[in-house]
Amino acid sequence: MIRFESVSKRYAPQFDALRELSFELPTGEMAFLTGHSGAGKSTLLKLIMLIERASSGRVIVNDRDHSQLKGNQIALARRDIGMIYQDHNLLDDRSVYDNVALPLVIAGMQPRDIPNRVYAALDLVGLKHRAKAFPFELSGGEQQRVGVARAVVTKPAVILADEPTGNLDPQLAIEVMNIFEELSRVGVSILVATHDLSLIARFRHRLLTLKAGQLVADTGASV
Amino acid sequence: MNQPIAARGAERQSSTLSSRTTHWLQHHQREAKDSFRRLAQTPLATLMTVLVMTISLTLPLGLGKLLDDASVAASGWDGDARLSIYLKEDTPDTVQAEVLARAQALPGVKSARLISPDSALEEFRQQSGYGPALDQLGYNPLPPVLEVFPDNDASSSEMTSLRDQFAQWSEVALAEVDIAWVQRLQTILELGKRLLWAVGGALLLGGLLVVGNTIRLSIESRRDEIRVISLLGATHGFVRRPFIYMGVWCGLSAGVFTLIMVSSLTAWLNVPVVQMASLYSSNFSLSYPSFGTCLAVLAGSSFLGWLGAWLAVGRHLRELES
Repeated sequence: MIRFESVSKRYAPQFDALRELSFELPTGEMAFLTGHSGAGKSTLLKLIMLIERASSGRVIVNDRDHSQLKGNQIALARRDIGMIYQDHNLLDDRSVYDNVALPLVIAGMQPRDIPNRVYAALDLVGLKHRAKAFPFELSGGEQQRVGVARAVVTKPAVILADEPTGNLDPQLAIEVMNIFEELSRVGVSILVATHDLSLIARFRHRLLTLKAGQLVADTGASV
Repeated sequence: MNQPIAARGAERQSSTLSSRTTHWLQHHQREAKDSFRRLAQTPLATLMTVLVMTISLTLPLGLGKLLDDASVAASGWDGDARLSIYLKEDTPDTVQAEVLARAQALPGVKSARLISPDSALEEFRQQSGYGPALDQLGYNPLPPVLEVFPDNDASSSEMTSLRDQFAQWSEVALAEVDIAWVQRLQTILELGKRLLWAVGGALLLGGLLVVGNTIRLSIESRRDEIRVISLLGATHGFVRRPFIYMGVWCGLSAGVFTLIMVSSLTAWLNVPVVQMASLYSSNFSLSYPSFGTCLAVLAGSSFLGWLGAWLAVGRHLRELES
């Protein structure tokens, strides 16, 4: 669950990245977030990930009020959010397996439980056979899918995706979107920031449109 | 992946305390190994750090031990200052006793004792090995002597004035202040100890900075990794741990090197030291670090590494977060 209550983010006196933004993404809903570059998509994702803090208003994710979180509470809040980055953010000195296992190790999971979870996540994105490879040995699309596997391996309640299909050919993009839909069906809230209009048109989920830091259109719940 | 979200809570709670402790220990073990591996990947840089730390530990430890050994040796000698009052040779026994009583009553005198010519001769006979020669002499050439111990904290000027008082007595042939060179040596040793604290403190600070700098460089080179694991929900402790272990490994290695260095130096210096001591008919020699000292050095050097790493990590993590 993600809820924004009149959230503003001001970077400099003259520059508001977000202005009085309010919306709610209930549990199990999937939505697209779109808008031109600089419209505030990245800022919105950063507020959810606690990379940035709102200047005013409240950001509530998984029943946690982000303005109240301090120190290690931030770390714990992040564990319940799976984020897929445009530039993957994989660690090049670790294998695909280790990259996907990382969130589980961080969360303190029993080592004997880790392999099953990692292989299940890799299987989901069709990369089980590349577990031993290193990220630099993979194509852009494969790296993107490893990023997806890493985001879903902890079974987070919220998944954020920043241009998750940017490096994927149409067929793989559709497969990744299918994974997201499947996850939303079991109760995961999913917010996908994208420019990809054909993808938006094809999947017909709720669409939030940002323009100059304001929410200018919200199609409401998925069709 | 189709497990409902609600099931996750139950899954987490099912882990018992002991299994969590085991897991925590395993994690630490892994981190310790991983940190060691990373240090071993850059052997030259690591060796430089460890050697600089070794030097910063060896100097204070080596000097401290040297001073300790010297203090023990010096305290073995009687460090009390005293006056030797030689009475005229023909002073009768009754007068000797009366002089002793007067000396004991003098302000500034802690105690005094009389060494009669006979007992002095006997002592000399035993210690000097000139027994037969003395027998040939046929008479005792030694005068009665008063050994006077002034109050403990008597300054050298008080000692001198005490000596001058004795010199005026008609029964006294010669009054002398025994130059308390042992006391001077002890003063010098005390000065040495203070200098050691100052220099040792500066050197240890240097060691701290070196390990801190090494950790700083390591943090710089792993900036991306720190950012990624932070975004994946790593706590401060999790992010810090590998660097802390790195510091502890550096410190521990430096401790081992330091003990090797100090022992080798002791062995190397002992040859001339023992030779010199034997010239002064002393069996003084430099001691090797005891088991307790070894443990303390290893613990101390590990702590130094830990502290350096902790300071560096704390500072740079704050930087990364801002």
